[in-house]
Amino acid sequence: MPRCANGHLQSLGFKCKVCGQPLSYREATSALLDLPSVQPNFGKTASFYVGMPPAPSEGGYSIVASAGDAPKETKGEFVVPKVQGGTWHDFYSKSTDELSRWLGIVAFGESTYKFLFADAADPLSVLAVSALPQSGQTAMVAMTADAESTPIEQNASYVAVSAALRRGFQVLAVPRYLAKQILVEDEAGESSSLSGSFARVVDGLLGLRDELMDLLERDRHIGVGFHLLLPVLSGSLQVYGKGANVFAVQGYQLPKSVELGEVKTVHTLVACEKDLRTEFEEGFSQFRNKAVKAALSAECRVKERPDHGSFDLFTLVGLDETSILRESEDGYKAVAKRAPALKVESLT
Amino acid sequence: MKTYHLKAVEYGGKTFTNCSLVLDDAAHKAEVKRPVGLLRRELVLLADLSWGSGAPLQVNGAAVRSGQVTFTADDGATALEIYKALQGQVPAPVRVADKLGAIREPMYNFLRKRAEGIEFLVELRTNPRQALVDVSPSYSGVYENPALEYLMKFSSTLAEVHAKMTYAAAEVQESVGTAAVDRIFAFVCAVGVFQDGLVAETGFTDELGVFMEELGLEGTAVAEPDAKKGTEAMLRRSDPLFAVASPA
Repeated sequence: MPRCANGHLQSLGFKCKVCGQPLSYREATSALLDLPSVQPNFGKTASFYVGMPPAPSEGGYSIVASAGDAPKETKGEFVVPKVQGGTWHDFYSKSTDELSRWLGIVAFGESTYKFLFADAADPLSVLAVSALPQSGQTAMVAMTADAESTPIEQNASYVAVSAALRRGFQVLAVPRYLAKQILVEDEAGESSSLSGSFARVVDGLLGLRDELMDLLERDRHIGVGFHLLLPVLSGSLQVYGKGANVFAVQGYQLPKSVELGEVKTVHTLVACEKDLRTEFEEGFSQFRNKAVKAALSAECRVKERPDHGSFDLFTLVGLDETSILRESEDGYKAVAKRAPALKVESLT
Repeated sequence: MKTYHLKAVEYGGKTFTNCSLVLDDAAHKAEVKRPVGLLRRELVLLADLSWGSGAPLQVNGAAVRSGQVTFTADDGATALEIYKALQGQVPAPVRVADKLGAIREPMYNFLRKRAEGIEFLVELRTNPRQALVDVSPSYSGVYENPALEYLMKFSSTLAEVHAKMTYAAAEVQESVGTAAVDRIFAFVCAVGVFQDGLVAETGFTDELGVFMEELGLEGTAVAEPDAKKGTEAMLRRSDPLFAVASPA
């Protein structure tokens, strides 16, 4: 900007507003060498999807990883070269640096909340966990292998969850059998595939992201970094009768390997119409006092939404890390015994 | 430098045909040259003419008389133009305009280059991840992120074109006067303010419009949100800056 002979810096004009001297522009153009500063807004949510498409109402930034014939790097897609018969270790060892670099370029870690939504049994899940930037407020929401999964799936799932916990990410696990139950419930509706039903879970969770991340961060402070996620999508009290019954049903949904006494925290997030608030708050309170009284922390948060005639409910059961890994431990070990590269210890 | 064809020149009691009058405004020289050689392609000096106001000059139709030399131009209008040039009446503004014209391209280059950086910043604000992806092919990893690396490299390129612009201005400033150059630089600053406004989303402000009008330029708002197109729209308004009538 111009200055007068007395050195007063002025905005556009011809005379100094301070002393009335003419303004000179001869030196002023040097200021144009400095471009204006910009503070990019990377948004509240960045979501990384493995083994599933982005959630239908994903409002933030999303990127999908997949394996294909030709590598590809775009804002919303990262394609690694296919590996014939590839295991998680093949993708992990070949592409971690490249994916990590790409996630750095797209500033994945700059959003407030970072989510990895993954089918943990997918061979790319370990790669994704390993390449995610190490920053706070990062959660892996994983559909984990269960007793019915193949050992190779259990191996990948076990390693992906272990890697996420090692890296300090919050882990929310939806065991595959639970995802299948959602599928059955939704059979008459939209979802028809396992990944589709998991995408619906993701969709509902993203709508409650602030409450979710708040509860996860709080649990982190008391050393709980692993949660089992029990979802009810498009639920109706015409089916359940009352709110307390929803929690009672969820009590039975816990994996056989998990005892109620092992529960460290329990939280419920509900998106429902205003009139149902008390129903769920009271039902949660009963469930907590009856079934998980020893839990260190318990909270029910209700987010009111216009009358949908249904509710979405997510119960987060905070557990010790080993609890869910037990489900896939046998398969993990069986594979790792035959292929030492597929051990958790292979991760650097 | 400008050359006029002369039908005939009378000098030293002789008449020469198809001569040339070469006006070198930079050197303040006016020379009459005649063709020589078998093919009459070579020009040799026939006479020096006086230059500037006060010279004994007469014009009559297509004929101009300057001291001992009388020549016939192609037509009366050309004769009058030569007469005025030798008197120093018209050539002065022409010379200023020509010299100012030497700043035009470097100035355009600077503002166009700056528009590229502004365009990137606008995208960085509105679609930051796409902006990062756009500059990622040239990312070496030396800097923290591709945006920073792009801006560091860009800053160096911008400084180069800025130096060329200021050098071009310095070269002509003595002969055209500081006011004319200052006016051009004032316009450069105005375009800079317009460009910065695209990043800050303030757009083309009323204050900028008033300033443009004070510069003698069109001051209506440029509503183009694209930095390159907006800059071009501003540059199209700059012609009056280079048609200065007299040196300051």
